Amino acid sequence: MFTLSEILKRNYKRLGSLLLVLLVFAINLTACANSKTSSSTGTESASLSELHFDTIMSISLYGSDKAALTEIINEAYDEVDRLESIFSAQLETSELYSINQGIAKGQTSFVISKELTEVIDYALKVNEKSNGALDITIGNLINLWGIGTDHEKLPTDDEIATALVGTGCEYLSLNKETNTLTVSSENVQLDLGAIAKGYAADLVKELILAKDSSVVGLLDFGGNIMTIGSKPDGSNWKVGITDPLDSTSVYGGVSVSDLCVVTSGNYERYFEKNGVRYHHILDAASGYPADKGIISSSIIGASSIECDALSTACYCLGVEDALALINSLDGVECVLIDNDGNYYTSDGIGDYNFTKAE
Amino acid sequence: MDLNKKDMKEMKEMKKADSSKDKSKASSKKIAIILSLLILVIGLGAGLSLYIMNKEATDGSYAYIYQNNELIKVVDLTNVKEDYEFRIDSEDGGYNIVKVTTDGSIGIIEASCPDHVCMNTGFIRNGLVPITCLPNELVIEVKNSKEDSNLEYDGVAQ
Repeated sequence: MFTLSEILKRNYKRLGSLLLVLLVFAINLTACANSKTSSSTGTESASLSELHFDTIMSISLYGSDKAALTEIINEAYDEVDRLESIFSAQLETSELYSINQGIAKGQTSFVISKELTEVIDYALKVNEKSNGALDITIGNLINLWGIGTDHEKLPTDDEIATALVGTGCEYLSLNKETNTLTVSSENVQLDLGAIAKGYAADLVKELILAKDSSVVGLLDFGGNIMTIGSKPDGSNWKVGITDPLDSTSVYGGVSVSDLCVVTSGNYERYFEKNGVRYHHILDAASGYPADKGIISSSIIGASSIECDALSTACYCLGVEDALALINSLDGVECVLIDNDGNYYTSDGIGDYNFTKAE
Repeated sequence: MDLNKKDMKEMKEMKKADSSKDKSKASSKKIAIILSLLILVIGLGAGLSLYIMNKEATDGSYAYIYQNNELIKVVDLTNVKEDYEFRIDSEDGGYNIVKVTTDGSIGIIEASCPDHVCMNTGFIRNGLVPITCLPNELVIEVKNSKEDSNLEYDGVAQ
């Protein structure tokens, strides 16, 4: 009765809408499919987590060849191992451990590795800039509290006073030409826990880029974040800052590329006694866990050792002095969070688009 | 009567006029219906594909448990019918008791380690922060089948 063209004519509206429905589905579905594959087109990734430096580390790299990336990551962890055998205060085979043994026995002069010279030199500089807030000589005090170890305890005021006698960076002098460290107090015990991980991240980043300068990625050294380049899609990395009042969620985030973000917080290692939290960031001035109102201090900058050192220093300084210190330095910015969960940022934080999480 | 007839006639005429109006009204109505149907269909299509995407994204949240840097157990955190616990022993006599809850989170509730950092971390449900017990060399990481690029943060400083 009807020709095909007549049927089509009569129902063209219905057919049209049917086609449209199909089209809409197709577009939606391919859009989903695209969002899943486009980010990895031409980009291979490799990621590996391991325990080092008494913490969990994870390295994620993006490049053109997965096998090559995996190889680089393994070499990176070898480098981490090598550095740990220099800087660990706990490993009895470490260079630092044997120096501490020597100091306690009255030895005053030590020829040390190039790496140790660099890190101690750096620590001395930050110590000066921060009016002593970062102090690498209080190993005895750290050991007395034992926070995060099997002998953690609340020491008496007398014990604390005793542990602080004869400590301070004024007892150290360093000859960078000859890599010689002179220690003029037997009560000094070196602890580089505040900066060694940061130094390691700098060296590992160097090593990765020396192997393949086109690689991008993210290093997470126990919560110290180091980014290499931008994300594979060219955008900035979004790095969250842990909420100190609820350490399983994120307080806010910054947007960075080729920079690191290092946070010191009172939730990392601590014990509680009689309702008081005793955390691991000890104030060399009082001998007690730092308590100047800051419970989380994050630094953003290019050098991980600098960020690591400054995050500890700022934590001990309190909001006002910490902001003054960071604003006086080039190339570093900070986000500080106080006891009540309020935040304070340095003048140039706008570059990193700090936004508080909902 | 005459009047009525006249009225009727007038009314008929009016009706006629109305019906011709109705005709053009009907075609514009048709267009309106088709348009609203189209919008509805686009909306439904978008909604459905979003639903499919999200379903894939939240489907399969798994906790990966590592001991001495080796994967020893994978726990499915989706559709946990009731809370349960299990114990992981370490080679040197230490242990951790792990709890999995119906809301899809996992945490350590008892441990032999002195520092209890692992217990202090609390319960986790996403990849933001792992649980670590260094003395027992235990790490619990949560991964969603969602790709990393979909997560809001690439890393979390702590």
